[in-house]
Amino acid sequence: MRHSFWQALRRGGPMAVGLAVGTLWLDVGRAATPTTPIRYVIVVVGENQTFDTVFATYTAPPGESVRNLLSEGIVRADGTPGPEYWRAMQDRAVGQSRYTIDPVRAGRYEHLPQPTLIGVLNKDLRFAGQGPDPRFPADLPPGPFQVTHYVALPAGATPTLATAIANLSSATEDPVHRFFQMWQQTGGDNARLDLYTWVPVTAGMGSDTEGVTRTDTGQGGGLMGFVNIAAGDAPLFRDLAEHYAMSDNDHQSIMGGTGPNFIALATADSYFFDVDGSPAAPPANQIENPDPQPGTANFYQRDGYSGGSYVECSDPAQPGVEAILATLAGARIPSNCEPGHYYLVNNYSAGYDLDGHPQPIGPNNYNYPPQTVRTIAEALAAGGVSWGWYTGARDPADLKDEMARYHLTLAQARRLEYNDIGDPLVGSRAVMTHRELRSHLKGLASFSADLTSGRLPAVSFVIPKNLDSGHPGNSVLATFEDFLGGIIDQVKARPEIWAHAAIIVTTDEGGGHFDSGYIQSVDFFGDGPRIPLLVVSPYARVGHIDHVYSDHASILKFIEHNWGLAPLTSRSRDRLPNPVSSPVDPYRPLNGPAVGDLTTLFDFQ
Amino acid sequence: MPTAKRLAARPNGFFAACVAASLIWPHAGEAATTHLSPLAGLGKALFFDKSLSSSGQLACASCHSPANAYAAPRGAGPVMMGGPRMDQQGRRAVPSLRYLQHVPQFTRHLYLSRTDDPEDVGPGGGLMWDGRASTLEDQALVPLLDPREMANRDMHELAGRLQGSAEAARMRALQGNPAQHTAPEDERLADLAAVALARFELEDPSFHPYDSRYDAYLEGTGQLTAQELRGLELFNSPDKGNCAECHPSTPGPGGRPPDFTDYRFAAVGVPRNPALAANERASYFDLGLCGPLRSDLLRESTEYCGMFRTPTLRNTARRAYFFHNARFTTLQDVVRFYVTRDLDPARWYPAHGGRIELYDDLPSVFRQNVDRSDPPFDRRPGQAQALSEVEIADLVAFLKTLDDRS
Repeated sequence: MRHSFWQALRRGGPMAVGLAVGTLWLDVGRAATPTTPIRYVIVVVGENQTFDTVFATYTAPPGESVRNLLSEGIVRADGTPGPEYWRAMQDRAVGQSRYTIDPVRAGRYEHLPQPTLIGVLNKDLRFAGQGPDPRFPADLPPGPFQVTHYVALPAGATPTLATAIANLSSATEDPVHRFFQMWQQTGGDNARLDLYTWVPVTAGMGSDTEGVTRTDTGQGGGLMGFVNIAAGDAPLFRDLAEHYAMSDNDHQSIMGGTGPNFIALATADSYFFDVDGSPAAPPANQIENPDPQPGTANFYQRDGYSGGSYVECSDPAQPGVEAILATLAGARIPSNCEPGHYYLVNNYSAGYDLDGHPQPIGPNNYNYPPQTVRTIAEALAAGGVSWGWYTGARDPADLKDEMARYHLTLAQARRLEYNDIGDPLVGSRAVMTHRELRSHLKGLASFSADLTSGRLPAVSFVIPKNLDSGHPGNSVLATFEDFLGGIIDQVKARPEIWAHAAIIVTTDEGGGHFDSGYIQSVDFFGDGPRIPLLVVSPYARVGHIDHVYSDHASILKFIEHNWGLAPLTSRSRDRLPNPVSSPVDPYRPLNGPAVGDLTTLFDFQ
Repeated sequence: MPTAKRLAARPNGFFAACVAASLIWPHAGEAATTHLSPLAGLGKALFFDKSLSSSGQLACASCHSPANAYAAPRGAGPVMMGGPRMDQQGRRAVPSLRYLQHVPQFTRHLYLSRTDDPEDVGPGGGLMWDGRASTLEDQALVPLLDPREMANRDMHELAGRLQGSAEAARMRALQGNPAQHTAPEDERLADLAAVALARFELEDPSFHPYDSRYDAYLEGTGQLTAQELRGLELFNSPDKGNCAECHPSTPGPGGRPPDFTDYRFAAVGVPRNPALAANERASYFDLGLCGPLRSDLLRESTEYCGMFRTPTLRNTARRAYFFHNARFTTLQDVVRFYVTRDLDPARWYPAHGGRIELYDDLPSVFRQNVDRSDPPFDRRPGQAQALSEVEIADLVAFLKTLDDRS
């Protein structure tokens, strides 16, 4: 029944949707037995790559199609501009008096601003420098360019600290990726692709970030770079796409960065400022104001890590909110903003540390309070589904090499490698104050041990250490491929597990990089640009490129579908229906807001 | 919303206003209270009131002199004397009360962000050399109750002194109807005093004038000499002084003037100071985060032992003693210590039986916590000194531009 539903859905039959959704709900409350042959879901999350950054020049196998820079004619297979390059060329805009996501354009860039060294680490793990990156020319064409034409990616290797460090010689610019910036860059739906560059150059990481000034935001054109998978870059991603299944219509859930997107991955929702669980106003200096400072084109008044990061988006009088609410209203999309809730839309650290110490909350401490938003951890526990969230650097054994190489204590090595912003369950009061739930938060050494000892839980989230994450500046894509290959090899080495496993590979978000794909506005918070998503499984549809619209909530929907769990809450995005689309444009749901549940990437026959 | 939050969010114009105000009020001690809220006005009166101390000879202002940027008064010794009979030596050099409005609360994980993804730089924030006070209110009560300082035995004795003080009537007026309060009266009075002192520090512009020559240079309204500019370059250069690594010299978030501290904790291995009475006991060590004045972290991790909070360098040239233990008396020597600590350790540390006792103000088990990686602390004997004597003079010339005019 369910399988025929998926076939019906791909044909776009709304009748079938109602029927199948009904079936899904019947599963609620059943014992935790999988409804598909998949017994193990392993979600591996890299950092900061859009779909077009990785798959710009991928060619679909016979019978399949892909939407990327090559297929759209924006670039050629050799990475040079194609006949439709003009569609991705970058424009300036006119300065404005208030925040808008559709500023009047002011002419094309003649060249891309030279990529800069912002965020780039050297082999001593210090910032490599400031200003333009001399490895790139100052006269790049004003659109997408092949980054590996100037900075080659290293060859694949066994994942070790030594190779991760050596690979840093290929690290490149870490572009801004923040909430209000990304709404401006994409205009919400990515209908026009021309403001990806002007927004970072004028707004940067926000005035409340040290080192960012109205005259120099530190940003360059590095965000327009892609690797050339047709020319041999990203060989593991190519191999996985060819032998398993991938989506070319999966998205980061929230406009912006790591923190809110990882939160969406764990909750299909957003965190908000609270006092003991009740919504409250954060310190005034931490409320976003993206209206431009007087005398600047687009340099936000209050935005940045050491300041503006929360928004009360039910109130159109709050700075920046009306521009987005008006766009949503035009598309008849509810904002999903509750009155009095100041939602966290940019990176802050969790209200606990790894050891469970509460972190201070105040105007000069950029932590969010302990959260009461329901997480997938609580749902899995309540549904009797075993789970583990494995984050690199949580286990002391994850840090042996760092401690030895740099003569670091455990705590120092952890500061280097632990992705605190990407550890959303550490922000949850329910998880951190519950001994049993908290015991499911583990490190990568535990993942290997659980796998080899037959104790791998049904649902695993696997998060690499910072240096392995593929995050521009402090890692490179090739290093993440090394890490990912290692995880896949470990799973395949246990045939009894591999036979029933689905390894879902994705990134937390696109890192502010350019992407040409359609974006569906699901609510005030996103979606954002496309990101890679692959299903590595014996049940993956080999070579398939899926066009059903999805985002991070889709991963939760798949888990919930597979074990018969209900959506997390009445407002979380995993409650949204599966998309129905017309064959003319399979990317765009006709019944939005809608996100798929990834079952179309599988073949369970 | 407490004032601190609003201060933190003020645009640059706020600091211009402070500069203007400080020109009107050259000495905080003489400033007209009409510009302060009633609560801050009360705080100001308490700040100068010696009757709140057990000896009757110490006010907050006795150690935090308004005429000397709210640090120890000119002519004072390395640490201040206090206690009921004024015969107790304080444990640490007096920190300035200026520029405390942006201090984060103490955390084991201070995050600094130069990119979209903040990095954990370890322990940071909090007031006092060891960060043990979270807020200005918490901090204000510490000297009032410290047996080596104002030496009230407890809240009850402090409340008694407050009730007997010249401010008693104002406190009653600000307290409102006692019947509406649930906390014990002693605590309420002490809390009110703490809140009032904190308000004074936040509201009175003399606590954050930002009127140094370097501020004028940043604003484009003043110039530095060629020597001072050379010093600034040495201060910033990672290969030379590398001072800005922990004492940022460029505008902070929101374009606010630089704080000249990143609020991190560091163990720099300052030599032991024999001038401190407590150091007569060889077994006594001031370990900063590990105590003896705070006790919550020692059992948790020894990695913190020997760490003290990075102070602002604003008004540093007005100090007579440097570092938590007042070991150094000139800025030249402070800089020389930084650049030769590991190149010429015999200059700074005692030798026992021909063996130089590196980082001698820490027990040997904690000496591994001393920073040996951030330049210029990464040098080893035989390597070149990061700064020459001429460069040290330039650097010190620059540091003097951080003195407020007021």
